[in-house]
Amino acid sequence: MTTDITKNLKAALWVPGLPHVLKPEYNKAYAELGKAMEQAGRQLKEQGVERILYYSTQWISVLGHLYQAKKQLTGYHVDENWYDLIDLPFNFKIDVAFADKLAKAATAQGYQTKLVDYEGFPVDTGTITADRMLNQTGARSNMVSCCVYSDYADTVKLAGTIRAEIEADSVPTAVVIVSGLSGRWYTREIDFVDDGVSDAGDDKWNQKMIALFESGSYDNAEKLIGDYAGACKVDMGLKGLAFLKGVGALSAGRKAKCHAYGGIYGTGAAVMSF
Amino acid sequence: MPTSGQGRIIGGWLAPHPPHLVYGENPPQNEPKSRGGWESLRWAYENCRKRIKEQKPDVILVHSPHWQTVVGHHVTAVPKLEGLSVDPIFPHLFRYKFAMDVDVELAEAIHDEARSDGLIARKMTNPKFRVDYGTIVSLHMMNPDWDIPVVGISANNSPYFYDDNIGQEEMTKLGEATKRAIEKTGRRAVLAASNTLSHFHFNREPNPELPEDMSKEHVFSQSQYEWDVRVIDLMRAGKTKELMAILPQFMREAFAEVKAGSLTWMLSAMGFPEIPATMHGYGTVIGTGNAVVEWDLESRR
Repeated sequence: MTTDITKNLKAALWVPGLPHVLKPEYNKAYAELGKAMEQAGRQLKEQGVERILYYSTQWISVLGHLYQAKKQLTGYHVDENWYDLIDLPFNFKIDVAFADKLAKAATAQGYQTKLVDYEGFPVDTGTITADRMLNQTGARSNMVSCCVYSDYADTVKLAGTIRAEIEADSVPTAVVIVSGLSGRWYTREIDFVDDGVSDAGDDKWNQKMIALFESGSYDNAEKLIGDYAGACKVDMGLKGLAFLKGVGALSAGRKAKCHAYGGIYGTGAAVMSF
Repeated sequence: MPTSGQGRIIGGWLAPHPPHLVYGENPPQNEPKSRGGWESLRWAYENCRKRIKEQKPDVILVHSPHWQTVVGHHVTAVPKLEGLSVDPIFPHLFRYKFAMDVDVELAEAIHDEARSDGLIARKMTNPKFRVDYGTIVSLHMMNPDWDIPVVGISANNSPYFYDDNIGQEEMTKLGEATKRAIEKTGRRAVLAASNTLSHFHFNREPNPELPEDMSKEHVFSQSQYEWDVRVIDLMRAGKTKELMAILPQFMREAFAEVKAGSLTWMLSAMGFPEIPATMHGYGTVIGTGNAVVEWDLESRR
């Protein structure tokens, strides 16, 4: 699916964060997205990935950035919207030492950071869903919050501190962005079988951006982010791309590959490797 | 569920939910401990607690911006909800063991009335649901004994997804449906709008070593403070129509959390009462403006 990005960064993925992908029987797109995530997980296994670092747009922070640091993070999550779709028990092995390094590196660059080490911490739906599909070997995890006041450039810089730490140790690592594309939800009740991207314009925009990623035209894609985000209510303004840029996944010559694309309750969803 | 004859709303409270208030109080349910802080708001809530004890309502209903739902308006409709609620944004301040009895009959009635009015409504029946910190903080600050059943109502994201007018129209209809449900089920109900007023806030914790350092607490900006005072003055004067008229501007210019619809829902349920509200206290939390305000509907009976 992908070649190594750097010595230790083995893969960079973009996956949707909605639990519908765990219900392949409900909709063809859910099944395809879920299958692509499982395939990506197998690829991580083949590449020998031992640590997965998640950046989910569903774990937001407002006073700086938070880094998950509870060694054995277990719990039982019920989504605030999709509470009757599926329950999500979770069990993460957090690389605490690495979380500490990441926080210190960011702090040294002027970011306000906090390590999070609390029983009962509510891991977000997206991270749990992604981990369930991708983490097929029980690899260690790390999680960084998505600070709503950290803009695109600031997020690139933050992710740069993470890149340096990934390279500074020897653990084969994958970075996973858990995020949607267009964010125009269906705001009415639909039958899951009828689900899809809710707006034809959003669908075109999503595919246009994916095509740019697949051609490696990241500079051009970045120039369109403002228009795209404004037109399609894009999840966190496509800030996940900034994170990928910061960790080095958008370097010249690297092309993304889209493994599956579809709609989840009207929003755009894709499984992409960079 | 005991009822008290003809159902009615006996009072409504603007009941802001910063987790800092629970943190500052050090109740046994909350694991992190503090040296205090945000007393002006916590003392204001003491008045609320006293009133609740005097009034002995059958139920407290709370509309919370931190249970944000995409498809319609949701109500808690499972008899008992309990667990540990850790705030994902302020986990160092709020790790609260909650247990609440839900007035399922009333919740179902609200659901049914809302749907009969053309709104999308859903009943949350998953007993493992983790109640959001907005709901818990408002309810704890109003009634820390948790000896009165509750109904939690989600904040549908229509004000954010469409525009302020559509969103507030939805909340107005939801308020009307809530009122009918309360009347039909015979409940004496207290409402809580779990909203902060002005909502621009600091983007760094002023003193990470001592979050309750009140020497670092202040209004985010003078303009934001003046907006809060203007809105509170209208509440105190009972000028509810004027208040509703300026809310959209307030939302835009002060990023007011009332955009989530809780205040509109409550005022609508109370029939947009043109009675003076009682201001119990105002204070800032990481720069946001918060007020504990009471509408006493019994006083006009």
